[in-house]
Amino acid sequence: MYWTKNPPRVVALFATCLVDAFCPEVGRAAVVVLERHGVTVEFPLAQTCCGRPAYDAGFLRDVRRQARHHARVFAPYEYIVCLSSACAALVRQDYPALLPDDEQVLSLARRTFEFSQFLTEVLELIGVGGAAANPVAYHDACHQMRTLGLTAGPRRLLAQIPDVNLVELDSREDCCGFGGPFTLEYPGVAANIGGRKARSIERSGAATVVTCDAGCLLHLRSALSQRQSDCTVRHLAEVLAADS
Amino acid sequence: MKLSFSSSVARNRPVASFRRRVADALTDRYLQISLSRAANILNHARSASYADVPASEALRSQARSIREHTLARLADYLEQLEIQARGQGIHVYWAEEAADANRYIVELARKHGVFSVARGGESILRELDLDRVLREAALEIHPTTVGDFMLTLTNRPPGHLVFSSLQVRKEEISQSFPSKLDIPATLDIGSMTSTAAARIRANLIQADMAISGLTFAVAETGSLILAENQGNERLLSNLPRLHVLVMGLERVVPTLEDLLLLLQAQARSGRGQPFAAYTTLLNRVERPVQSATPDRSEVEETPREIHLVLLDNGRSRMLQQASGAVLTCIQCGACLNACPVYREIGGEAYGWTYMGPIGAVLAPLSLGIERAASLPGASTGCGACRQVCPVDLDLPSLLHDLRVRASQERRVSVRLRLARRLWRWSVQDNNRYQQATRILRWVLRPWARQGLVQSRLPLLRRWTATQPLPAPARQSFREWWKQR
Repeated sequence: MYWTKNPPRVVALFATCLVDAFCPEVGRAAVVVLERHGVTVEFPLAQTCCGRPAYDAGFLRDVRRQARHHARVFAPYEYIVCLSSACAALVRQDYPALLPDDEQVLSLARRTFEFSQFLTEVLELIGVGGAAANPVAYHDACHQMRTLGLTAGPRRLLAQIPDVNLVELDSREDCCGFGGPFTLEYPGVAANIGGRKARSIERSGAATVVTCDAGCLLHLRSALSQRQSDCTVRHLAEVLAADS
Repeated sequence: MKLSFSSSVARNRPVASFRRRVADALTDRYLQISLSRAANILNHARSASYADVPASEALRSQARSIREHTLARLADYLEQLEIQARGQGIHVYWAEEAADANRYIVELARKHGVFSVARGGESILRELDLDRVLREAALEIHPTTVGDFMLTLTNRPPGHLVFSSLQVRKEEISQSFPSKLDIPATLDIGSMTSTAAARIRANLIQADMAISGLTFAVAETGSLILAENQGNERLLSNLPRLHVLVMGLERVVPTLEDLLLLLQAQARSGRGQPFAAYTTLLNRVERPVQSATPDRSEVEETPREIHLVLLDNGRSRMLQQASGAVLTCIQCGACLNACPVYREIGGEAYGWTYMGPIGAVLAPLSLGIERAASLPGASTGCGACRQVCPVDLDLPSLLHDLRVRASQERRVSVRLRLARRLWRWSVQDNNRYQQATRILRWVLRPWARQGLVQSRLPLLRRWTATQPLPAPARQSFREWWKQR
C-alpha cells in the first residue's frame, strides 16, 4: 500500500507554538504519518517560537533573535518538517532576507519543509492512505498558496485517500481572517472574515475542511462553531494519519 | 514633520480614530451586504475580462516595467510633457503642495469671473480637498459623476476609489430627493440614476469652469487623458471656456503605446472592462468657443483655456524613500475588491481620500506615520492585493515595512506592546516556554467548552464577544512527546 521512492530519513519536527499548545493532536498525527513511512522523527525540546507573530507585528529585532535560536536548535538535522505554513514561509522566505549573512540561518531555510511539501517533494509519496468524513474541502492557507506556492501537492495527497470526495470552495483564494497580531488588534474584523469563509464552507456542503496551517485551523474551527456548523476542521496530517 | 497632503482632510476625519470607525462599520449590516456584493461582482468581472487575454501575466510585467521605468526617469518625462503641452497652447502649473494647486485654481476662477464649477470624480481632487476650497471661495460646485452626485446629496465621503458611492443605501439617497431636488422620493434605482444623470448634464452646461483629475498624460505627444464611464468629462473638455486638469506627478506615461497598455490594465483590473467607456485624448487647445452676445446681434468668440496642474504634494519626497514604488499604482481599485479587510470595513473607515491596501500604504507615507500608524496593521497579510495588482505592486511588503517603521517609532497599540512583552519573556528558552503554556492553560481551560473559550471573561470579552477563542489542550505536544 505504501510506497516511498526515496529511502527513509531522520527528520526533526518543528511543531510550531499553536500546534504545541492548542492542537497537539496535529503533531501526534504528523508523527504517525512520518513513522508509517519509515522516517525517524525527533523533536528537539529546545524549540520555542519561530517569531512569526513578531514578524507580522513588525518587531524585526525579536524575529532575528528567534531566527538565530531556531537555527541553532535545528542545526543537527538534515530535514525539518514544519506543521504550519505561515511558520514554514517565515523560515524559508523571510529568515534569509533578515539575516542574509548568517550561514546557519540560510541553510536552515533550505532544510525546512512544510509538512505536505515534505511528503510530496522529499519523500515523493504517492499512496499514503488516510480517512475523512466526505465531502472534503481543502482550504488554501494564504502563506501555503501565495508564499510557498503549494496548491497542487496538498490536493494530491487528499485525492489519494480511499473513497474521498473532494469539493472546492467558491472562496478558494480568500483569506480565513486569521492574521496573528491582526486578530489581536481587530478581533471583530477577523471574526467577520472568518464568518464569511464559514458560510462558503457551508455552501460547499463539506463535512471536513482540511488545511496545512495551524492558525487557519483554529480560526476556522471558531468560525464554524460560532455558526453551529457540523463541519470539522482538520490538519492534513490528521486526515492522512486516520485509518480508513 | 511637514504634512504635505491637505491637512484639513485629516482634521475633518482624523485617521487616529480608525479603530472606532472600524467598529462602526462592523455593526452596519447594510454596509457588509453591499460591500460583499460589490466585491463579488467586481472580482468576477476582473477575472472574466482577463480570461480572453492570452498573456495576462506578460501584460502585467510589461505594465510594471513601464511604470518602474517612468518613475526612474520621472523628471525627464515631466519636462518632455511640459514642453509638448505648452507647445499646444496648454498652460502648465507645477504645484508643490495641495495649497498651491488650490490657490492657482481659485485665482483662475476669480480672474475669469467664474460662478459655477463642474468638478470631476477623480480621487486627486479629493486629495486637494477641493470642495472645501471652492466653497470657501463662494463658488458653486457641480459633481460630474452619478456616484459623486449621490455623495453630495447624502453628504457622505466616498466609499471606494472607483465606485465612489457603493456604500450608500438607496433609501438614504431617496430621502434626500424631496428636500434637495424637489422631486418625490422613489426607490427605483433606474429612475434615481437617470434623474441624477439629467441633473448633472443640466448643471454642466451652465458651468463656466471645469476641473478634472487626469487619468494619465503622455510625454511624447503632450496628450492629456480622461478615462471615464459616463461621458461627462468628455463633455467638459468641450464646453466651458476654462478647463483645469490636475494630475499627480507620477501619472505621466512615456508613449502612446504605453498609454494603451496602462489604460487597458486599469480598466480590466478595476472594472472588468477592456477599456473605459469614454477615453478622451485632449491634444491642442480647441477652436474658440462661439456664443451669441446677449442681444444676439453678433457671435462672440472666446478662446478656450486649458490648464494642466502637475501636483507633487509629497510625491517626489516619497520617491526618494524605499517605499517610492507605491507610486507605480495607477489607482484601478482592484486591491480594494480583493482585500478581506476592506470588504468588511469599507472605504469610509480609512478616513481619507485613499482607502483599502493602497490607502493604508499611502496614508502613513503622505500624512506622516504618526497620523496613520494603525492603518498598515489592518491587514491579515494574505497577499491578495498583490495578486490582483495590474502593475504587480508588492503592497504586502510595503504594508509590512510600515508596520516595522511604526514599531521602531514606538507607535504601537498598548495591547500589542503588552502581548510583545509576554511573548518575549516566554520564548527565551524551553523552560519559560513550557511555563507560559501551563499558565495559558491554567487561565483559559476552566472556561473551555468543547475546546473553545466562549465565556464573558472581563479581560477577554473583547476577543470572545465576536467569536470563541481556541482553548489550550490538556496536554501540550511536548508534554506528550516527553512521556512517549
